Amino acid sequence: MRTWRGRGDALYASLILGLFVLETVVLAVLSWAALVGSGGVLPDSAFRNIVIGAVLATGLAVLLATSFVLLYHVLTQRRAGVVGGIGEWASLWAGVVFSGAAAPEGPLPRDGVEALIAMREVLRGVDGTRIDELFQTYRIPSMALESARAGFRRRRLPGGGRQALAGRLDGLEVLARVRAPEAFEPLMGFLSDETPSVRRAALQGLARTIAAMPSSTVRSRATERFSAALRTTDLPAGVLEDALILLGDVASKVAGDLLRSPDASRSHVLVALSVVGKMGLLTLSDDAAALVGDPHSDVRASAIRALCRLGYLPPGSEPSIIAALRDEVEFVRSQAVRALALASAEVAVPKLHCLLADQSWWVRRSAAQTLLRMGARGGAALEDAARRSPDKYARQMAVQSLLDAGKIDPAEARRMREAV
Amino acid sequence: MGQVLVVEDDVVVCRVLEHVLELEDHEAIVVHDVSAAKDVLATHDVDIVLLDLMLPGGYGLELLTYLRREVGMSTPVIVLSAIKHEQNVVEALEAGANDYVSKPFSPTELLSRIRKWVEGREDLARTR
Repeated sequence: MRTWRGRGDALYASLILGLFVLETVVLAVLSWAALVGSGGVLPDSAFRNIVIGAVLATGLAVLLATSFVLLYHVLTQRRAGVVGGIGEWASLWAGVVFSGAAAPEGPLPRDGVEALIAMREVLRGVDGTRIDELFQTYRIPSMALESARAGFRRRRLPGGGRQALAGRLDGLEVLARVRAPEAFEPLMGFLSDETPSVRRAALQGLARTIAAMPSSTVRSRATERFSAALRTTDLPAGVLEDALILLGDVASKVAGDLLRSPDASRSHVLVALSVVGKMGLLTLSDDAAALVGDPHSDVRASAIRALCRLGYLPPGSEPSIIAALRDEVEFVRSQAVRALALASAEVAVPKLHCLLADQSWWVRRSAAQTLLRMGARGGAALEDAARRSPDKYARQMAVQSLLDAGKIDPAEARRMREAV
Repeated sequence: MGQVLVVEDDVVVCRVLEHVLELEDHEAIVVHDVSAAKDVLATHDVDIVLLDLMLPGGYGLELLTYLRREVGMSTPVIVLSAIKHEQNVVEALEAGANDYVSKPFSPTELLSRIRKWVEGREDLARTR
C-alpha cells in the first residue's frame, strides 16, 4: 500500500511541478504582453489573445490537477476494496481449513479463488493438502483450463485478440499457481502455441506443476517430457532459466539432461550451467567440469563460473582450470583465475603471482583479488609482487589491491610505488 | 497463551497467522511495516515476533538490527519468509533471529517453534 501511495505521491509531485513551470511561463508571457501592450507596441487583438491563452492554460492546469486527485482516490478505493475482499475470503478459508467451518457454496467469486490460491502458496503439509481438495471441490483447475482454452477460441472473433490473450494468460497463471497434476497434459499442449507469452506461461506452469508432484513414476515421466520439450523450445534463455529454477529439486535432472544431450543448443547449455551455479547443483559438478575444455569460449567461461559458484573443483578438474589460465579469451582467463581459489595454495599462489603480469587488466585484478582471498599466504605473495615483481603493471595492481583491501595505508602505498 | 507480534504485509498470510495463532490461544498483534512494528514494540511487551523480510518501505532485517543492537531487546524473533537462500538465512540468524521458517510453512511446525521460544523465555524469566 505504501508503495502504491509512494508512486502516487511521486506522480503528483511531478504533475504539480510541471503545472507550476507552465504557469510561470504563462505569467511571464502575460506580464511581457501587459508591459509591451501598455506602450502601444502590441495590438489590442494580440493582447486579448494572449490573455485568453493564459486563462485557458490556467484552467487546463487546474483541471489536470483536480482530475489526477480524483482518479487517484478512485483507484486507491478500488484497490483497497480488492485487498479487503481477498482478506475477508482468506479469513473464511482459514476458518474452513483450521477450524472445520463449512465451506461456502460454489461458484466462487474471483476474490475467493485468489485468496484460496494465495493460501495454498503459503501453507504446506496437511493444511496444504486440504486446500488441494478444495481446489478440486470448486473445479478451479478445470475452470482455469477452460479460461485458457476459451481465450483461444475467442481470439478468432473480430477484435477479440488482446482480450483473448489476457484471458488465456490469466487461466495459465491460475494453473501454474494451483499446481494441479491433471494440468500437466494440457499445459504441454500450450507449449506449441504460436504466441511466445503463452508458451512462456505454459513452461512456467509446467515447471511449478512438476515441482509440486510427489516423487513417483508419473513425476519421472513428466520430468522426461518437460526436459525433451525444453530442448526444442525457442524461448529466451532467461525464461528457460526461470523455469529450471521453478522445478526445485527436479532441476538437477533437467539441467543434467541439457548438459549431456548432444541435441541441446549452446544457449541451452549456457542456461543449464547458470542454473548449476545459482542453485548449487553439486551433483552436476563433473558435467560442468567436462565443459571447461569446450570449443566455445562462452561455454568455457560459464562452466568455470559454475564451478566457482559451487565452490568445488571435482577431482581431476584442476589441470583443465590451469590450462584455462592460458586461454586466448581474457574473460575465460579471468574466470579461471577466480577458480584457482578452490585449488590447493601450493598450486594456486605461484600461478596467481605470475598472472598479476597478465596483459589483461581484468585478469590482473582477478589474480590480485583471488590472492587476497587465499589467506596469509596469498597476502604475502601479493605484497611480494608489490615490492619485487619485475613487471610494472603487476606491481601497480598489487599495490592498489593491497591499498583497497586496507592491508597498507596510502603512505605505504606511495613508498612502494616510489621504491621501484 | 502469549502475545505475538506479526510483522507481515501480505493480507492472506496475516489472516492465516491470526487463525493459526488462535489455535493455541495466542493473541496476534498484526502490523504491516517496520515503523508500525517499532511503535508496538515500544508500548507492548510481546512474547515473540514473527517477522517477514520483504516489507513495504523497508527490509525486515532492519527491524531485527534495531531490536538487537539499538534497543537491546531479547524478545525471540522468528523470521517467516519466502526467501529460502542459504545466504539470507545466515544473514537473518546473524542479525539476531532466533529461528527461520520458510514459506510455504506447516502451521503445526510453526506453532511448535513458537511454543519452544515462548516457553524458553518464560523459563528464563522464572530463573531470574
